[in-house]
Amino acid sequence: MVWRKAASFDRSRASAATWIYTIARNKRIDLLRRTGRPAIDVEDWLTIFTPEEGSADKSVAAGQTYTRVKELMEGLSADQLTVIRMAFFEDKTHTAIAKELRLPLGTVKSRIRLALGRLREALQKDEET
Amino acid sequence: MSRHPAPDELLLDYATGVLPEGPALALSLHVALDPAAQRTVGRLTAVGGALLEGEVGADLGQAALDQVMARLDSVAVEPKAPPPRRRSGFEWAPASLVPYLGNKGWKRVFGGFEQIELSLHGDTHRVALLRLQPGRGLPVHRHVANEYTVVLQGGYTDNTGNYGVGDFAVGPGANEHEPIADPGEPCIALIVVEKPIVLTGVWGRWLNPLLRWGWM
Repeated sequence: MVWRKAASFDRSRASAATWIYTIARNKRIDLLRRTGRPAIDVEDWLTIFTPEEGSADKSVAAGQTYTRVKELMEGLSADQLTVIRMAFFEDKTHTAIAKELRLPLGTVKSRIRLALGRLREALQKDEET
Repeated sequence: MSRHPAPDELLLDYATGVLPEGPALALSLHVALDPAAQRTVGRLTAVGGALLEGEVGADLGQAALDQVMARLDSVAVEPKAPPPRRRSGFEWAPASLVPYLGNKGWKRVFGGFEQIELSLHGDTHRVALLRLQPGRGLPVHRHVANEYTVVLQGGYTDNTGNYGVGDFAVGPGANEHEPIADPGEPCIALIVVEKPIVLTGVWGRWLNPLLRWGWM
C-alpha cells in the first residue's frame, strides 16, 4: 500500500515517518467511512499536504525526530500532556477527551490551545534554523 | 494568514483523523485555502509521525526509506492522481470538495439565495453549499448546535466580523446573527451543522416550517 503511493512522497517536504503516519491515518479514515461509496479519496487528503507551486511555505512537516518531539512534550504541563497524548494515542476528539476526563469542554479547549501554542512556537523555530 | 482561523482543538482533531465526515470536509477546505492552518496541520502530522516511530520502536529513518525504495524499483508505482476535473462554474472548488459535488446544481431557496445539499454517509451532520448574491443576506437566525462555515468565494459580514476566502467560522451558539454577502463576487460557503438552525425575527415564524422538512 505504502509503496504504491510512493509517487506522492516528496522527501523535501516530509520525513518518511510523517509520510507513513499520513498514509496510515488516511487509510483508517477511508476504512471507517467505507459505507457504500468512496468518501474522500486517500489521494485527496494527501494533496492537502502538497500546496500549490510557488507557495511561500516550504517548511511544512519538516522531519521531526522522536527525541525532539518527546523533549517538546516534556515541556508541557501535566494537564496539557494528558490531552495531547489522548489525542494522538487514543484517537479521541477533544469532545470525547472532555467527556472521559469529566472536564468542561472549555477547559479541554484551552489546554489544547496552550499546548499547541507552545509546540507551534518551538517547531517554527526548528524549521527556521 | 487567515483573519479567522479554525480553533486549535479542531485542527488537532483533523490532524489525528478523528473528525466525523462533515466537519472533516469543512476543515479540509479551510486547510486547503489557509497556509497558516496548513502549517499547523503539517506540524501536528510530523508530531504524529515522530510519536509513531518512537512508540513502535520502528526505524523509519532515511536509510530505511532508501533501502525500501531501492528494493521496490521493480514494483509498479501508481501514478500520482491528476488534479480532479471541475465542471464549468465550479472552478473555485478545492480538490476535497469535488467528489461530493457530482452533477448537483444550485437550487434557488429565495431571492439571491441558492444552495446545494451534499450527502454524507454514516454522519448525521447536515452539509450544504450556500451561494448568496452580493448585498443579500440570510434571515436572522440562531444556532442550536455547532455550526462550521468555510468561505470558498467572495465574503460576508455579520456582527462578529468580516469573513473572506479560507476563513473559518464556528457558529455563534445561542447568539443571533444575520450574515450579508459582501460586494463583488457572489459569496459561496460550505456550512456544516449538527442540527437545524432556528430562525428568529420577522421571517422566522414563516420560514421555520421549511426547516422542519429539510434545512435551508
